[in-house]
Amino acid sequence: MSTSEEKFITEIKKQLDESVDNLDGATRSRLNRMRSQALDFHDAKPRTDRIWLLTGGALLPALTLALFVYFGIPRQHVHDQQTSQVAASHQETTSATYDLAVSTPSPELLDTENLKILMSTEELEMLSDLDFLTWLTHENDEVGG
Amino acid sequence: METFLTSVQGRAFRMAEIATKSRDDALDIVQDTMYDFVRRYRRHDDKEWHPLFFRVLQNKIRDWYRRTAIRRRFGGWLSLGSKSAEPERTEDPFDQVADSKGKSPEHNLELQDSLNHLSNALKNLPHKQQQVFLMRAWEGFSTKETATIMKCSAGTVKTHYWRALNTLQEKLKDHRS
Repeated sequence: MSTSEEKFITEIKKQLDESVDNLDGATRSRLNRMRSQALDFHDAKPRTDRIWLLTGGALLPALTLALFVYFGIPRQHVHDQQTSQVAASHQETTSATYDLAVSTPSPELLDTENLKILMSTEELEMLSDLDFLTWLTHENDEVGG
Repeated sequence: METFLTSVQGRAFRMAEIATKSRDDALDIVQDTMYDFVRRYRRHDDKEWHPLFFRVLQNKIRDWYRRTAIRRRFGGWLSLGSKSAEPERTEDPFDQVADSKGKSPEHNLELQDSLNHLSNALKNLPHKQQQVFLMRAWEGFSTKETATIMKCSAGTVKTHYWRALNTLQEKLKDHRS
């Protein structure tokens, strides 16, 4: 850049700076208000975000509790009722069944285990295996004798 | 952030005014720029604020040009952009306040005269030349920074700047002190 160009640019810069320094009062006040509004607007914004966060933070545990109360307690109630019914009915028949009913945590599990026993192919095989039965009787006789 | 905005608001207004040739449009552009800039960049490193602010300003000026071009094209048919369609502005009480800057009327007149010439010369430049010149010469941005701000290549910046400089030197040669 030549010296004359530099001088020319310095002159223009000076004039433009002066034009800013000499802005009329109305424009300056408008600019100041705009600046304050822009800053205030964005300073206030996180506060509303925080309000939402706090509201969400308070609502979430309340909703969880409500869901727990609605779905948790009735299930527990039914479960207790069913367990006691099963236990009572079995208590009348055999003590072994009573033990099973009491020790079994849930009726669903109880039913499944009963089904497993009933459906077990192992036991059927065992019963059908005469050699095994003979051996077992022999063993028992030896232990008893 | 407040100190930074205070330091650039006047220059931003003058640039927008030179671009739009309208005080009200320039104030609207500066207002939008401030809101957008604070919203998007207040958490950025303050060393980045200067180019970022002028990038937002240039975007707003470009948007204004686009809107104005559309209004000019379709305004006649749809009565868009007509003065009557705009909401009536309430009078600003600050407009009535006297300027407190204590300079002599002669000085102000002289200054106003040279400023008018410069302002007219700048306003008559093509938009890109005008803004590239202001970014480079007034704001002191490098060619690369100006290219980023103006979203164009460094070569384009150099060409626009050189053309603007030549045109201004030619137009203002009679008014130079």
